[in-house]
Amino acid sequence: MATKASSAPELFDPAFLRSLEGLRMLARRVPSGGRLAEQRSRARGAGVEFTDVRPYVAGDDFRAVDWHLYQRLDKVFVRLFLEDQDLPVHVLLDHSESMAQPPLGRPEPATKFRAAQQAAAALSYVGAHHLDRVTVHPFADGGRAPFRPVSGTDGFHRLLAWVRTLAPDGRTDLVRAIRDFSHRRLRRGIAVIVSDFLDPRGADAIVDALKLVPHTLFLCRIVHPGEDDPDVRGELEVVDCETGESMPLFVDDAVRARYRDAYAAFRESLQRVAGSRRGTYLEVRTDEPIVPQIARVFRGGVLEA
Amino acid sequence: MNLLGLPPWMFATGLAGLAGTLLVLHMLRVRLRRQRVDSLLFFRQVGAVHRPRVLLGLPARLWSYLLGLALLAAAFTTFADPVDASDGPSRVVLVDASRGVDPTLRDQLSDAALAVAELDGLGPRGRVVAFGAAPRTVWNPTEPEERLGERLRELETGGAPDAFWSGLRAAASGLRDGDEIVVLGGPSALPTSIDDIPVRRAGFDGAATASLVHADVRHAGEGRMILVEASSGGVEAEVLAREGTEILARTTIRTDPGATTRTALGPIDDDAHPDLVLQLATNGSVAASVPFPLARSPIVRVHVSAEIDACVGAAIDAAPRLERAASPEDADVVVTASTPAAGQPTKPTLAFVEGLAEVERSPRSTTSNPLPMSLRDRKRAGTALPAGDGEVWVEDSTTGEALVRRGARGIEAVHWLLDDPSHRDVPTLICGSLLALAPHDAGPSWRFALPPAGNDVELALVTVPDPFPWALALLALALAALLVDSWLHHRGRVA
Repeated sequence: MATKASSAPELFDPAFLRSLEGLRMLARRVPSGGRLAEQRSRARGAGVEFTDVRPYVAGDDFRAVDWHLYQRLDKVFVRLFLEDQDLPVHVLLDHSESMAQPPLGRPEPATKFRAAQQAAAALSYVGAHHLDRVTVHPFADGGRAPFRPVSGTDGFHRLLAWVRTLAPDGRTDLVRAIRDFSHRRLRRGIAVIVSDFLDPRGADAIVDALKLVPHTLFLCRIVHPGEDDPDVRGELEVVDCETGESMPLFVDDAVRARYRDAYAAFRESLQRVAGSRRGTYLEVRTDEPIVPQIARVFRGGVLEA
Repeated sequence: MNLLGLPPWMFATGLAGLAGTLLVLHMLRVRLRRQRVDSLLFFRQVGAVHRPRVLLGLPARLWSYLLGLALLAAAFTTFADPVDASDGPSRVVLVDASRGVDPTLRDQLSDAALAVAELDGLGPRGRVVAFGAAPRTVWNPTEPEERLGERLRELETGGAPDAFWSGLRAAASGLRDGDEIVVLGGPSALPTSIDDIPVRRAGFDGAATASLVHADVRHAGEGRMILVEASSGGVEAEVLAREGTEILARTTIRTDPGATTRTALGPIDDDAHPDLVLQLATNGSVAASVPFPLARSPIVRVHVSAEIDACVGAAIDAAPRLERAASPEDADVVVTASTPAAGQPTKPTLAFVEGLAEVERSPRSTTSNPLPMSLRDRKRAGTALPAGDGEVWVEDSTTGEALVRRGARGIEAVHWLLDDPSHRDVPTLICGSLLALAPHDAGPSWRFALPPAGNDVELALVTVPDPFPWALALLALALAALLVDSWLHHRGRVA
């Protein structure tokens, strides 16, 4: 069931953007092949950080000649610098039907998808603001094609306008989306997955798929308040909002305890796989402001990827 | 429909109890609250070991199992085929008690059925089923013997013609190998077995459908004739008019089963109080016996006009039921020598008129003549009655002209029939005509309620006397216990 697309003013305002300007994703080392930007790469070229010298060969830039060495050694050398390049940021945004569900047993109208849009946009802004190349890959059953990579503020606003056109629809196929993404030959960077991670195939299948991702993982899980302990009791017929499948259930304290255990185990498995890949696991609650929650994983404003 | 052997009020109470229990359970049923969720991922993990309470779930406690099973077993043994209670060969005695109202016959049937029960034994599932207006089980071996006779005497008659055969098949369907059906009475031709259950006739030879159907009385000279419609049921039978041990009249009949014939008994004196008896010629057993008293006819007062007194006065004076009246106003019947004029108010009249056209005539009784006249002196000269309306009793065999005729105002006869005093039919003609004109009934006329046997015996077979009266309550209690236990206590079963 498609819901109304969010408008940009509702998602962001200038204060929201200003609060993000202090954040930065910093790669330890980006692979070569990117465009000039602010991330330190292994490529030697135009940069500010001196790394070595080598003998001059014809065609080298005279501005790189180290005249001090020429004066001492009477040989011509050119100075080498590490080249600053961009960091690929791939944002996988879940827009399946389950992202439109209100909190279980609570009347709040907030949906996960709105929080997911905000989180994806915020992380995209952090990257694009520092000239990193940001690509948003929406996924769901029958999802849309990714938006072309953008960088810089102008590119972010185009991306933002596109993100707000997305609406929750279709069934979750997170595992397949991750596998398809992993098999694409993309320049290595950060894979930000914004989802509720509620794939019917369960935690093991999700973890197995995440292990295939060649990028640094940033798992941004959108959760409703109290999702780990739903405030329901009694005889229920729980219905999957995506598949329509239902099951009868009697919920009492014991059942709720088992639910909490299952939920915690699921969360722990996601944390473990993110940690094993030197990545990040972040739970974003829908009832709280997005930026402070995101900022908690940017220690000193920097997230080392 | 026998309402499971229960009285209607108890059956209705049981149904109401069941309906009420179901209604309460329906109102208390588990209503699952529908809840849309993001995913069933975590619910599946907890749902695998916890199910919701269900209305028709298995009982959660051992005592519920035991109580439910005990109550269901009690209800089952009550409602199940009652003849299946135990093993051993059994015998069902089918009694055709539908023939007549004669208590003697029913006592004989009762004795015969008890003889079968005593000599052959009925077995654990045996009983006596009677076909009356409705077939019913009238006795089982656990009851006192006199109950059988009482119930047979109280049995009403009436029912469908082929009920005996359908009842026979139904009785066979409730029996097992080794069991037997014994028939007392019933049709003359019985099969040797039905559905592999042997059938035999025993004890009582009251044969087939021999029965009295209808009887009425006609005057016959100075006595009465009893016209009887009866059936012999395929064997030869005698219809008797018997007063005490004296047989007043008898006749023999033989009809096919189900068919009837009419026969006459008599003449019988007016003072007789006979019983009509249908007796089988084969063994002399009585199939029916009905008291049939003939009412004494009142005296008929007769006024004889002077011009004819010399001819008929002596005959009237000699007749036992006739008495002279001084004037026509005091008389029941008037005897004259001329036909009364039309429109003249008068009593019923026997008129001896001169007639017309004297030629040689040969008097002959017609089939309409109720008087037993022989008219042996034939071919003598005489006149005939003028043409007119009425029922001709005696006619001229040559010309067909009426000599004695019954009309609306009385009886006309040609005068010359009185000429010969030696004519042996004159007293019959005079007295019979006067009695026929007398304004009173000739005698009783009865129609006996003697239809063929019973109707559907299948229901009778489950109409066991003294059924367990709390069976429905037990069944309802069992269902309620199981369902309420299921509803209240079922929390699922830990895998």
